[in-house]
Amino acid sequence: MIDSRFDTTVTTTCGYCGVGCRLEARVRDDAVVSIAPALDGPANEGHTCLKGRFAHRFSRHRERLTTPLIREGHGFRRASWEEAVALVAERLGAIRAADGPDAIAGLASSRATNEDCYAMQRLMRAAIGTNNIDNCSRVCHSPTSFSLRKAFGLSGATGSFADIDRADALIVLGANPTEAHPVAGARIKQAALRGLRLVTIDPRRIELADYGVLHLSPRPGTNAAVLHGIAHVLVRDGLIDEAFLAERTEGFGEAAAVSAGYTPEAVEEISGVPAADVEAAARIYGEAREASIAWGLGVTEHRHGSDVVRLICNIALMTGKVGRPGSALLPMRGQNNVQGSSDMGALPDTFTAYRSVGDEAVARSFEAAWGVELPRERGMKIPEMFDAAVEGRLKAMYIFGEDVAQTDPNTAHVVAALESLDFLVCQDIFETETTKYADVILPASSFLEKSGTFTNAERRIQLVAPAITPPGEARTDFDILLTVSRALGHDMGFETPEDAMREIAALTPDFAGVTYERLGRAGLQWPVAPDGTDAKILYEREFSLPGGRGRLAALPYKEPGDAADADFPLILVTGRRLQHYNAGTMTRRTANLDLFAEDFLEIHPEDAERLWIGDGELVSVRSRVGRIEIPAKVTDRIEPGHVFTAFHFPEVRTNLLVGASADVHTSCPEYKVVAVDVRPMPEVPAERPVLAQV
Amino acid sequence: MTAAPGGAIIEPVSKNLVELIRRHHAEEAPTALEVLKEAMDARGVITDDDRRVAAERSGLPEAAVYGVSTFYDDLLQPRGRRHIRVCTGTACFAATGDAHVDALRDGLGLELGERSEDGATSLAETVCLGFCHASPAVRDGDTIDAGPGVVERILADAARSAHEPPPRSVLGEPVLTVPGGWRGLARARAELTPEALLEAVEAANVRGRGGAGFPAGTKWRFTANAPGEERFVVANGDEGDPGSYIDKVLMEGNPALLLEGMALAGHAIGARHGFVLTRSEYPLSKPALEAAAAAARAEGWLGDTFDVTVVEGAGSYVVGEETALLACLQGLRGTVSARPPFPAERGVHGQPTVVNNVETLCNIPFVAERGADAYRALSPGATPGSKLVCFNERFARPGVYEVRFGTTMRELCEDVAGGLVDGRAIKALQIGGPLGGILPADKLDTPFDFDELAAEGCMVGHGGIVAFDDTTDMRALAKHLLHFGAAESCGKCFPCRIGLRRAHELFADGAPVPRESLEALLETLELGSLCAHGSGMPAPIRSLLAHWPEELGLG
Amino acid sequence: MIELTIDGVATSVEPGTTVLDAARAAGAAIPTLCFDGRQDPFGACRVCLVGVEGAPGPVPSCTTPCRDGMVVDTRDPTARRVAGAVVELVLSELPGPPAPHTELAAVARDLGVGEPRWPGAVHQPLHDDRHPYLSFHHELCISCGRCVRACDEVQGAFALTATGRGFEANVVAGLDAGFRESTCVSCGACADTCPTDAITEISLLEVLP
Repeated sequence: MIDSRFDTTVTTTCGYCGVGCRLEARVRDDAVVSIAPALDGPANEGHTCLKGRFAHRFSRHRERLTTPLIREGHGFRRASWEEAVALVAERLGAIRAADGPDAIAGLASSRATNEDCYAMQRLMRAAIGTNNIDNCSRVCHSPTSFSLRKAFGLSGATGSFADIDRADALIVLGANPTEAHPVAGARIKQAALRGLRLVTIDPRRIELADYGVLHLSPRPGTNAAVLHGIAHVLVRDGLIDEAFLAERTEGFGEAAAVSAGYTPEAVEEISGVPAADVEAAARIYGEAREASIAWGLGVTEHRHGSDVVRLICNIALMTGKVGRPGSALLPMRGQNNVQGSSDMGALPDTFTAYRSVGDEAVARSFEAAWGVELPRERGMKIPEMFDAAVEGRLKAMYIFGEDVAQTDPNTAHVVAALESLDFLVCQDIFETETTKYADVILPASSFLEKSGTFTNAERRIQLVAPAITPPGEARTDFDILLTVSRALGHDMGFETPEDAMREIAALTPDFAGVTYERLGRAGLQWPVAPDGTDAKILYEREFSLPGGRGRLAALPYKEPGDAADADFPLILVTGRRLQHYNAGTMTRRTANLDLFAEDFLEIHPEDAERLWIGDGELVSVRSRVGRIEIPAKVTDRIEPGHVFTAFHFPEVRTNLLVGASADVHTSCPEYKVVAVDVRPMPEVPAERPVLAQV
Repeated sequence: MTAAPGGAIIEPVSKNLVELIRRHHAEEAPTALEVLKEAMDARGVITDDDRRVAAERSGLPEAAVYGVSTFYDDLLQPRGRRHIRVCTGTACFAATGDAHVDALRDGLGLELGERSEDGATSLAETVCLGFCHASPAVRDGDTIDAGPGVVERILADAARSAHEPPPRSVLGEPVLTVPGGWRGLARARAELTPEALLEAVEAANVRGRGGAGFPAGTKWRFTANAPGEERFVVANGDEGDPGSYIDKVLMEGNPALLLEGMALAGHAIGARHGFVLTRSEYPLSKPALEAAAAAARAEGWLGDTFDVTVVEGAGSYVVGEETALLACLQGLRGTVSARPPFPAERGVHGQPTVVNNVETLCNIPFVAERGADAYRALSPGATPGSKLVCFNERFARPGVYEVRFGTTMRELCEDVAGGLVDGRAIKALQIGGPLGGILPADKLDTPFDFDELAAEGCMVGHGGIVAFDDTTDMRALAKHLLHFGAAESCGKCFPCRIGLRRAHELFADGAPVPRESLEALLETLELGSLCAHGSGMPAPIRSLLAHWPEELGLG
Repeated sequence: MIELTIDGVATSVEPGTTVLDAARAAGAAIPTLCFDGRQDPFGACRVCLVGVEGAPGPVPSCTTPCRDGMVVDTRDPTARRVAGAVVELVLSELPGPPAPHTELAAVARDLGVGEPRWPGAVHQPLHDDRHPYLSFHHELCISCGRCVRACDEVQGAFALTATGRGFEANVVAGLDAGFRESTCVSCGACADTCPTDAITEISLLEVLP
């Protein structure tokens, strides 16, 4: 039916979380007036959440960047595109000439399209000549990517959200889907009410715990011990799939030998989870015909997050619960395109589809396509970039669609790094904490204003279509990156994002069959064969490793990087609120702010009483590296000894508290274990948080 | 989320709410309705705090509890320290033309559903108290008074309990009016396999006594064969039909017979638990059944093998419909659901459930003890078994009688009930409740049986027989019936929710009723409604149109 | 597979398929009000009535499973007449004609419903605009239950309930103190499914056709 209220209705893909809802954006007078879920969206099946549906007004917010800005004194002045691009090319060119290409680094955005990210890494590699390119999956799911590749071969979910409906049991570990991935959370809740045996493992009693059959509350940083305990019981009680282990895996003996040391009683000692609950969790998972595991940043954002992902893979391999409908491993990707930005090679060590920059054949194929010579050594990861900037080795950064000064840990260090740079380009849709340090700000476009593709948490590549035009003189990210690259002397030869996807498909076997036409309304889950056949389920017959066998890992539990002590007696865990999204750049500019206006620190009644903290009272939270002030919320959703808050609000700047501790393999920050001291605030609250004295 | 084409599952009520209830039931939680009733009994009004407590204790979400609290009459009409409920059933209408309602309103200075400002007194409407033999009836606290002078006694605060005559039987060997002796269950447990009992009930062709006349054996067979983790027996004691007080007499006067029938049903279908849903308008039913159950447990008839829980409703006619009854039993809003699935597939907690009317179950002990042939012989040449009927206050000898199917209405009215009082003549009979057609006096030779009454647009129904004497205003009767219909519509299906309101509005004032549009409305109700409430309410109006068009003020 | 005939054409469906799904798959246009494919069938609106050979009257296609040998007529005159009368009743309870873009308006057009023959009481305006995105105009509620079921079966927030009974039936959030005081998670599934704009997005109230 034609609805005369709207000029057009455009089907696109949501730009918030990694679920990848397909949306219908209803447009009038070049503004989105309403968004409805697409009934045929494979991941959302006609549903979406308050972010996808309602939080679109930021796109026409008066604070949108509408012209390029160039630093002038302590402020910025408006500039033309010609001037801004010329300045970027000139300064980057000069730094490259003086200090070499590796004095420049770029960050791609997990919020942007695959084509944008592809163009960004090509800009850095081909136009600048460096592998110093990374993206914000570094600070969220890099351990997942790393460990899935080690255990199975490919960096992505082994199945789809639909597997939740087919599973008999599901473990949700270190994730709070009903807030962070609401549509997937709703799906899990419905499945649990239908009889799915749901086990939740989280220091907080998340909402889904109310619908599950078992909830475990391990001390932050002890996930590995719990998984070992589960593995121990699986082996001890014969709940393993011996035929699968024999035919399709390697490393079981060594892995089992390590787990043998983790009796449920020993795990109770380490994690605080009652031994009987560890036994019960193992039985629920092991005895289910089909069982899946979903996890989030509560697994990865730890000192040993990569190990925990391997241990998740271990129990799936031990029980043969992978590669079948209903038996899937589902990392809950945080951002709309955190999967795709890494797939596209916006990483310091890999080209598209995680092929090493040191792989001669692969590198040559890109050299041939791009007509340049490419470096073979890996570039810097994000934390290394900041270290190098502070040390003076890194002179310039091109940051695209990220607010590192708010979202990255050890904020004081990040700010010091940004201040140390000779030249900083930010490409964004709003001024942010990070753009304060920029020399040039390029006004870009939101997901509602661009075309391209996003890849969701189930590896599904889905089309993004522009519903409205970018405001003022703002341009699409793709267009900006092409223009800058051309100004630097490297013409990518693309007209449209679709051209970029043709090149990606031509240069990437796992994307060989991807065309926009084939993506259609439902998208395709990579790997996509040349004939367009996609993969709902990975590893049905063999793993994507040499020899085709999945690899179990023998990794003992290791203590987290931080621990409570006499000075910092509580453990802070950070996470997301339903109403907001990451840095809040978008959601805080919508009426979602009306629904959730001010963050709070969740604290258990016992701790609150002991510390003389009343519900709603302002408290001071101090860690080893910083201090913030925030109101308290007394709730028994959190275990005693722990506190929780989110990181959406610049007024709070939670990440001031998070130190440098990070995953040993991937440098993913340990956002989830920060020892803090919480005290009531007797004095008049400060207007702004106090920056840390490092 | 989306039911895939080909896999559509039709759910009787919200499967999620039922699941939440089931999970709490495992913890022996009360239903939300029970908690709300307690709050109402304690304080006379329901607050949001009560609703929060009900949500907490029952496991139902707060919003769902709110929905429950706005559905049932008992929860909606605020109670003063003295709570007076006036019966507006059809028998009371036949007795006074609703004059008793007006007299109480005037005398107390309260509208129906109103509580005096000082909280001392409240007046509420109730349908019906089951004292149709002595109409009009008024309940003052827990005392039910009825008959001449009742209004004056209530206004003088001198209510006294009305007399209830014992049921009588015209059969040489009464089946339903003698105390249950557990002989049927004893024989079944000793000699009859579940299958043998099931076959006996099928062979006896025990037809449902609650209205529809559906064979009990068929229901049982469906339930026994339906896949499920457990099975339940539910006795439908929600005898809401105004003018009918048969199940009341059975539950209060012969509760052991019902419990025995339920235990037999459990034996036949493999159920270990049964529920009786009683009416709150019959305050004595639940205690009588609970006392009988306690005695039966002590004697070993109930207990581990089969036990019974008695649950009291909260004032809703439509809850007598079996899907609404199951919703009420689980503490939900008493709204009707589409069938299939039948309770035989998805009943209590989503499990296979037999729902039988109280009187139906009371027939089972005889079948179990004496066999199908003896049962069929009770009403030769007619529907097997015997039937309880009851007569309203207009008759000379009102009360509950056990009779044979096939007896003519004239024999019942004149020989059994003695004709009308005060030498009045029968103008019409409404048989089987408010959804039954109205039989004019010239059709009194119609036999009392399913098919014969159906041929006259009437029905056996519950077996309540309400006589309207020659002074009755048939337009006022139409208005009375449609008021009841609209007020009791559960609000789920659109034809009934809106259509009965519109039908009542047509008769509400003195305006001429356009016949064509009335008939179109009746057709919409008959053919469009989800349950028998909406589709049945036109039947008496059709009768009035057919037999007394000149009295209806048609335009 | 179950074999049946719909509008004269033989078709076969999986066991458990409803007549509505089978008929729509076969290309028949059956109007509905309380049906939403994302939810379990409900059977309240009685607008999806069809004729079935041998049935005593029209049957609701959404809650009727297909049976072998069934002969369905989606254009059955009695079914269409009753469905039209039901929609006429629905229009009669609203304070004004439905907005043209709503499903209710479309269904009324489809069934050719004109002026209601049975005027009477209408629902009185009662607006709740306390939520930043969701507007609730209770007088437009036709108690189809779609919002309640969306909240229950799709989102699982259980924030909405049917209230009252009979003509007074309506829907409220939580304990009738608005969405914000309820367990509502602002997903908007209620507004998305509402066929009358009783619950709608505030942003759409500003958009004139």
